[in-house]
Formats: sequence, structure tokens, C-alpha cells
Amino acid sequence: MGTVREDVAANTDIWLAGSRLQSSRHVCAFFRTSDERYRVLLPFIKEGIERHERAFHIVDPALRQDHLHRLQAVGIDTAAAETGHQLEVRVWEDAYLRGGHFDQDAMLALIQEVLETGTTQGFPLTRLVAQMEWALEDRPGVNDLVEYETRLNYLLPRYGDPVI
Amino acid sequence: MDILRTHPMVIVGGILQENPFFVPPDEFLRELRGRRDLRR
Repeated sequence: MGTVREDVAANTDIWLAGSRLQSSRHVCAFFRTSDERYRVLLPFIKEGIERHERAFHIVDPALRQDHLHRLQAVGIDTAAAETGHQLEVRVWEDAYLRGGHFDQDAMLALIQEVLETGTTQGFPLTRLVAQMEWALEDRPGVNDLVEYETRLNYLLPRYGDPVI
Repeated sequence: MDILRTHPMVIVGGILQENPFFVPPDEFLRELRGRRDLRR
């Protein structure tokens, strides 16, 4: 017998890129263009917002406004969603690159905190979407990214929240 | 390529699919440790 939240998460179909997500919800996504990225991700993001789930996004600081405009263009009231804690859009410097470098332990702790905050705030699910282009740059600590990503595979199955 | 091996699912060409290159974390961490030992 799971908790209510687990039951909701397990029984509600989550659609992404034309398919139903199964129990493995740690997804690596490659996009050739920004338009392709949003063509794939916007329906997934919008579905979550309409179901009153939480959306946590980590974006390139140079593209934060563009990201919000893309969400607004499909009818998401980003201001209301942010005020109601349903939507949080952080820039890399407030997530992966806090203190100017990538710290895998700090980031794993942040992801755990984000997913647990969603639960304590009463959201049935958190859909986490992160832009990762910073990893292609020569940032301090970036060499630990692979270890961080593999360690996420211990953490994420405990929650069931999709992480793209 | 290593990053691809850490994700059980992948979206390529706009299609979601199971990732045939995925390596479970126990095995991958062993591999990473092995590489570090080699560098010492």
C-alpha cells in the first residue's frame, strides 16, 4: 500500500515525446535546436501544470526570459504559477553552479530537497527539466558530472518524479 | 558518451526510448573507480 502521492504518481500516465513514461524516469534528451527542445518539452510541461503538479526548471541564465515566454506562449500563466510555488525557474548559478563551480554532493542534496519540497507543499508530482549546456563549457567541477548523473539513479527511483 | 550511459531513458530525434547504452549505477561507479585507480 503506497502513500496517496505514490498512487497518484504510479497511476497517472505521464506523456513525453509521444510515449508514456514508465517507471524509469531519468531521461537524457538531445535537441538540435531550441525549437525542437520546446516542441518536445512544452506538452510535457503543460500537462503537468494542468494537473496541478509542480514544475522545477533549471535554465541558462541568458535564456530565462525566453524560457518564460515559451511557457506563456502555450497558455501557462507563469507569474501565477511562480507565485503559487507551482513553477520555479532557476538559473544555473542557483543550482548546478552555486559558488561558481559544480559540486555533485551539493547538487544531489538540492535535487532531493526539491523533490521533497514538492511533496510537502502538496503537489502530487514534480516534473524537473534542466538545461545542461553548461556541461559543455570548461566549468570547475564539470568532471564530476558523470558520477553525479549515475548517483541520481539511486535517488530518483525513490521519488518517481520525472527528471529530464 | 559517458553522460548517455547514465540515463535509463533517452530522447533522440524527438522520440523517447529506452536507452540501450544505460549502465546501472553500481556497475558505472565501479568503472569510474577503476579509471581513477588506473590514473594513480
